Amino acid sequence: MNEGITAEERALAAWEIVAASASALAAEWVVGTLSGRGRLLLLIPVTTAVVFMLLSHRARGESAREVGWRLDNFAEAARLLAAPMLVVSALLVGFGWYAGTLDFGRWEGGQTIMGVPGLSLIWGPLQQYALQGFINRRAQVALGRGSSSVLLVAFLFALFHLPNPWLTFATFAGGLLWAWVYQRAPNILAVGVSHSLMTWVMISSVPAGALHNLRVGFKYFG
Amino acid sequence: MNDAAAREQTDTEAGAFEPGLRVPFSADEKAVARRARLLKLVAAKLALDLLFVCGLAVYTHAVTYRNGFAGELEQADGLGARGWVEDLEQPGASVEVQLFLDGRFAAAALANEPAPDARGDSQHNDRRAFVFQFVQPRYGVHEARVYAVRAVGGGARRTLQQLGDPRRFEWK
Repeated sequence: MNEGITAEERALAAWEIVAASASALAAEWVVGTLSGRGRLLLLIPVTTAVVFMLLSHRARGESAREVGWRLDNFAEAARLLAAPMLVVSALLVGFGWYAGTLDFGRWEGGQTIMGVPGLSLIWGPLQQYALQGFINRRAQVALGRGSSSVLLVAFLFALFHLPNPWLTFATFAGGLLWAWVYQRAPNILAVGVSHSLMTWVMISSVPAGALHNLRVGFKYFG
Repeated sequence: MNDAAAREQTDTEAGAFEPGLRVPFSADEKAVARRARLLKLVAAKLALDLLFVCGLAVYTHAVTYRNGFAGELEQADGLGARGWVEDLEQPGASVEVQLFLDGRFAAAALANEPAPDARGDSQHNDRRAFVFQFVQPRYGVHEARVYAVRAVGGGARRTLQQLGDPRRFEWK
């Protein structure tokens, strides 16, 4: 597939990844550092990133369906995700049970379990849209389909979760799985729901102190 | 897969060998124009990011360091330290000051008593005096620095400004 792609095309795709990633890093490290409690400023990098990704899809002639907003391959994506998710979930729950930290009602910011579905079902697919629907697709243009692009996606996903050590490790591992699955069955909802479920299982199992309330970027130190 | 076939590969069906990315722009004029537009889009996005980050940094610096402090650490020894500070933003206001010994936080105090100016007048100026007294004498060679604290952004940020020069002392 990549044989038909010129060096210019690859460079352009790589710059698209840089442009999208810059917004995430600016939001986490610059806005968090300089704006104090003013979270409204976060809307600027978020909005520019979303607008940029949508315009890029348009310029490349990508439809929502091609990006992964579809249902016809949901089952295939879910089938690929099921086994690794079950294994990791079992390990996490087992660890939580053994360590006495298992609590399925625990959630970020002390919310109850009732707040979980609403938050996670939106947040997971949104993150996975940017990560897979945009970055993974551009990574495949730049590096080709396979291990190089999967590694790049996982590396960037981990980078966005620095300096939280456990979250960085977890997102690198999750990034590998979700990028690999997306390249075989591009479905944003499947990887998004998987992201949400794995986040919930992890929060419920791992001691809250280790995850540092899922804080990333400059906020991690606050 | 040859180039032409690769360009036509646009499907993203599950289980397909190729992911189908609709990546390569074809050679027709429309596609070339679209690629040029995308290139401009990337440049504009990065320029906007840079502008946003620089703008935010300049604004924050302007707000945070609009008006600083004047002051001096006049004396430091093994028993304590003293000096004066003047808030240039709110003349005459009390100022929180922090003492650092050898780069480590040692104590905090509120400078709220009038301090004499160069003419010895303590009633008609906006200087405020601070005094630190150590519970235990600090023996050996040390370096003392005093910082004035400014809380901005509704207390979201607290910045420190060093008052005068650091003072080194040896106490036996």
